[in-house]
Amino acid sequence: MLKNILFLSVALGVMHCSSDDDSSSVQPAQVGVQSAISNVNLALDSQSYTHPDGTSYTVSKLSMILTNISLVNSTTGQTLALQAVHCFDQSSNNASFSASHEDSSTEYDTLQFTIGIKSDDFDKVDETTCENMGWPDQLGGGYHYMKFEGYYTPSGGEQQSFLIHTGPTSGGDYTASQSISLGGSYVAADLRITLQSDLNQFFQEPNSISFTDLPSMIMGDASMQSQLQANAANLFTISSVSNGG
Amino acid sequence: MRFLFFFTLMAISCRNSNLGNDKIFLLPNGFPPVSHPDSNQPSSTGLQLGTLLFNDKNLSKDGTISCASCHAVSLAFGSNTQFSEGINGSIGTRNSMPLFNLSWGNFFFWDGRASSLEEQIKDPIQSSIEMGMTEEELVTYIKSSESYVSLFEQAFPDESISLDTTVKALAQYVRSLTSYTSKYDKVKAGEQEFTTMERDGETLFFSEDAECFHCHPSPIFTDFQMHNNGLDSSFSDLGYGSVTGNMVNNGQFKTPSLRNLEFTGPYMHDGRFSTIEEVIEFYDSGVHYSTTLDPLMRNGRDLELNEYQKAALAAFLRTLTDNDFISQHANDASSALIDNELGDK
Repeated sequence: MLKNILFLSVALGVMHCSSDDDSSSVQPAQVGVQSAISNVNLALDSQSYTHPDGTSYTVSKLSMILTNISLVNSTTGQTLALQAVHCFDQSSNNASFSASHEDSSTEYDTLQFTIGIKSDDFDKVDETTCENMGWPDQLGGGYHYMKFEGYYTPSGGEQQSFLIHTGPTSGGDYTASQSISLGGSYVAADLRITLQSDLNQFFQEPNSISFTDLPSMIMGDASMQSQLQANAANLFTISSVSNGG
Repeated sequence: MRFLFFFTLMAISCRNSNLGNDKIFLLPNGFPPVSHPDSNQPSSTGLQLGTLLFNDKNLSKDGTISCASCHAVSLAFGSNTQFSEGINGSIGTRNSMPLFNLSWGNFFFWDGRASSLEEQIKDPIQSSIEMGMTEEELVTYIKSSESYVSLFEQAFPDESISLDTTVKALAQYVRSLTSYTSKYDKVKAGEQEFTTMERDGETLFFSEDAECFHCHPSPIFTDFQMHNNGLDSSFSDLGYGSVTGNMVNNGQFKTPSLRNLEFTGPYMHDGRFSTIEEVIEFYDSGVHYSTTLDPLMRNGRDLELNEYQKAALAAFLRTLTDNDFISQHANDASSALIDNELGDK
């Protein structure tokens, strides 16, 4: 009887310790995504922005998919996956995400991610957060990488709309990868990073694109998809990074 | 007659206990998961109660109008009139929206003024040109029926009979109206095949030539968003703009699903088009420019479809007709009998 009680006590103790270990999770990393145009935060419909060619425009919609968001130690090559697929829509206040992990000690100096989604990651999409991002099978299938829509007023002309939808035209891969230095070394625990885009990047470097250059059928235009892909390679910068608040 | 009605209610009430929650709100393949509000998780009793309430004309002030009056099951829970008639012969100003596949929406009503189904349902019950009931009148009526009281106690054991619990039951029923067994769905499941014309229409639908799919993406064929699709160059009805007070939303209305189009005409928020062909003609060459015209409308450019393309598009749209859905719900709440009994106020 005493042996049984002892065994039970030890077993309970082991279970208790095990439970404690499980609950000592590392603080998640927080990644915020801010959209801006020439350092002015994006406000749908209300704020006027200036295209690199001087044309005024407003934005009515912005939704985007980022994938394979990871921290990297550029010396050792060690990576920590933060989020496989992150969909955000400017109108939904869902730009930020929290990534749970168990890495409390490795130091990372780089954030890498992909703008858009490759076919290998289609099965990781959460349809509830990536609403209305489907890319029709007739145009190659998959998902839009981005929907960027709004209005501009050409000099001396009537207001016109613009529509930039990027994605896998004819099944092609037009995703753009970015690898950005954090400017120092940080552990992943309670890491807080704010990514900031400059949407004007889509219109400049290396390809200058005016609103009138945009084809009316952009989803099927492989040439324009390639130009936008190239311009997207410098879309984001890191505006802040820290461990803890 | 009243005895017969109460007997029917009791029979349905007893049947509830045999229904498992897993047998309702089935998720069709390819559809996004349904997220029920925490405050209104579905139950078989709640669903049955909602079904009865939906068909009960005594939920209107003069006992002439039920939800089903403007949302008939044979019309995919819509109406075939331009504007529906409420109590005292009042006529509305917008076309009745069909009720199916509403579990996924964030905007309700043509002008998107409700952000939940529960919020939406309160409106017609209390509207003076629809059902015109006060909460007091509603609760008094429901409490006059022992069977209703019993069903409410089962469905909402921790809540009292109120407008809130009434709309919760109705919302459970409306969320259960899921249409996903059209020919289109059967083709996608490999069970049927499109005709050549239907397939050509599908290709056009999902192309940038016709540009239908952005506002009407598969599988639900609505993006549930607000758009100005170019019906007018100036607006007698501001739509979403009247809700937000922001002129950038003027002329925007909720995108309706294209499923069951054969049942849901007339079309648009004001029921201005009688046929699918008229709608296609509008998008082909009748879009009006305005400063809030949606970018997806490409500044109102004509589609320049030829006659075959228009016919193919119509043929494809008709593959979204879901006769199984109509049949499945044809006998909801033993409708005719209960309507007649409850109408005898």
